[in-house]
Amino acid sequence: MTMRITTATAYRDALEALDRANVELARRQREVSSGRRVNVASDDPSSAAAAINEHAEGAALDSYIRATDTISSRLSVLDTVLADAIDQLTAVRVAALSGRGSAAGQAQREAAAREIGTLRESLLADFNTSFHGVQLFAGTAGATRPFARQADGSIGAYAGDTGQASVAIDRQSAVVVTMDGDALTRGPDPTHIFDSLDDLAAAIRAGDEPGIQAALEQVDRAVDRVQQAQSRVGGDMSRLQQQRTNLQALELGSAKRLSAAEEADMAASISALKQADTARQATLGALASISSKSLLDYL
Amino acid sequence: MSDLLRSLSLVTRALEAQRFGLEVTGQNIANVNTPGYTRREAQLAAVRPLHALDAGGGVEVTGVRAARDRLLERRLYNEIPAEQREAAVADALGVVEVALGAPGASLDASITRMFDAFARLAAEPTSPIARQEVVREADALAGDFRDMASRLTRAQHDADASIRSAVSEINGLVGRIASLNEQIGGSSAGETLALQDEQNEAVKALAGLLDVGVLPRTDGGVDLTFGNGRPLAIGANAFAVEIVASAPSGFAEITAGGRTVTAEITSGRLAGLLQVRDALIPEYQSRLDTLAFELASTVNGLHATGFDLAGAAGGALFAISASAAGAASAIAIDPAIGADPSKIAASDTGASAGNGVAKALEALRDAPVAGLSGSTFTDAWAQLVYRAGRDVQAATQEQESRQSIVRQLQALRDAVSGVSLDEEAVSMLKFQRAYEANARYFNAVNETLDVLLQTLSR
Repeated sequence: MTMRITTATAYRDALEALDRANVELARRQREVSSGRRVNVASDDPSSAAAAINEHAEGAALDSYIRATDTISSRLSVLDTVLADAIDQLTAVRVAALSGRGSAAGQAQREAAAREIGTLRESLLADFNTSFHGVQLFAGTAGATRPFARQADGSIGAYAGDTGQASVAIDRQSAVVVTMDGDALTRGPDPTHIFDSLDDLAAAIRAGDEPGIQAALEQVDRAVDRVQQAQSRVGGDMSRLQQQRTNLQALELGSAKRLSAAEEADMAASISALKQADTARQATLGALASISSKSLLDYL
Repeated sequence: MSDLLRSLSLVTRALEAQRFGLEVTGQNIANVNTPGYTRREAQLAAVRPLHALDAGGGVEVTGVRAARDRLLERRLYNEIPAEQREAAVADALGVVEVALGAPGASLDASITRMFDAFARLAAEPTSPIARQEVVREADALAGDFRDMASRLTRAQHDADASIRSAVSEINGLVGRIASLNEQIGGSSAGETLALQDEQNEAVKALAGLLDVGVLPRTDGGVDLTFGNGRPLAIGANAFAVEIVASAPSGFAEITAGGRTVTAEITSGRLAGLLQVRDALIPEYQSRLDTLAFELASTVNGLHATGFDLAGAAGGALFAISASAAGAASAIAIDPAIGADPSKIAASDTGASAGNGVAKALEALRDAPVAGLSGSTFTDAWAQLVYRAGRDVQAATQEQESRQSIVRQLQALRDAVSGVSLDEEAVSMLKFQRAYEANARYFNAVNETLDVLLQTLSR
């Protein structure tokens, strides 16, 4: 028996075809207007999950880049301060030379001692530098001034701690951002550089050659220590620049992967939209043609 | 002459029969768009001759037949429930899926921002701005967890409301079917055709809601059962399906005759809604709760090992429930920390500029968490979203494939029972011409009688 196509079947089939064409058209329109292939998870569940993870990866890389910027500012301040400290200590040597030897008179020795006193103040200011409210040379005791002036005019012992704080610049590496003021100003010596400068000034005033010599050796050792610290800071700063470049390249890679997971290929979507539109028009035409004539028109 | 007179009366019956055929055709054309209508056919039979030399007795109407295929209807009752179940799941979960948000713009973004805040804290542990930011992001994250949990709960309640209204719809349909059973049982064969059409439509609507067992009765009605043979309509008796609110959620449990039958409903819209409310959404809720609990516990654990700006030991950063159940609705930032950001324990040594704990908190971003089967926090969220998306996709695909089966069956049913206007036009023509021909024959017989009477009267 051949299949009867009844009126109801014909209209129902045409309506279903029209519904399908409309749904496809709406989907393609949404794709083109939002630019995204995945608008809800059911569009492509595994791409949605991949997109979530890629968004998080991009944000993590961003966070590391911000960290490198913050650390760079701090290290550049450290660099400047350490350079200034070296300048002060160099000036101390020059002043000491002018006040030493038999050719120097009392007045000259007095002038040299006073200059050393002034240079000691500048050095003190350097080692008490703070950045964004945190002491740079106090280790991890950021709120404590590492070197305080005593009642008798001398500089007290180191009041900070020896802890180190580092900040992560990627998942495996970190940069140390704290400075141990004690290691810089005293190192292996029994007293810190400020006391050495006081001793130097006193020795110059007294014309005490061995005393001057001993103090100058301490100054030399201090200069070495500060120069080492400065070169370490310089090395970290160039490492940070390189890291920033690396992170930006990784971020670009992450953005590309995200785009592949989430975004619609515009050319393909627009062409599919055109196809869906054409299909819909063809369906409408077919619907119109089946409804136009029946036998009753001819009777 | 008596034969001629008999011919006249035969013609009258023939005209009646053709007019009846035309009437049935008219009935079909009138009902071309009536859903569930089965095409009627006038049944005409030739009257047998009285003896060997009799041409025949003309035509008589023996009745009206409805072109119905019971087998196709039964197959539709079997296929519709599964299609409707998947449709219900796809619809209800579609809302949940939208509530879960787009990748990179939902809970995962909040988690990311909190870890960003920890990173800034690690870079500048004494900065009040960095601390304020940690407070703000932790508070926002807790708020987002609570919002997400309440959205899932609301979706569950929506499914519950749909279940209640589906049950009252079921009861309404069953009542109608039972009363139709009564009417069909009490009327003659010809009158029952329209009632059976109506009953068939009601059973189809019911099959969409619930997987019913349909047993035909000898008088033309149907008996309905569901689940493990529980009665719905036996003859004129309708058995109501009831709802009992279950503690503590207040969700509807389906009962029939005092027994809980929720588990026996396996297909139909009702089954789909039950699956969403009792299995699918609770799965998402439990994953969300586990994520919230593990995040808060892990952060709290690390935070407790640290020291705040004043050097005091760190407390909890998040207030959380005792176990994973309900964690997402209960998570909040600890009020002491919310009021005083300096209590955030960034330092691992007690020194104010120490950042060891803040660094460890930042590193949690990528840390595999034992309580999440080794996934990171973001990945656990991605898995939840994947799960929901896959459930919707599977339901939609299943529904589409079953829908094509249902459509095929409906097309087959229409091929047997549907009205084709072209066919009815031909029938109309047929009966019209037959009526004309019979009327001509009447004239011919009449004229023959006239001739006979004229001859006799002379």
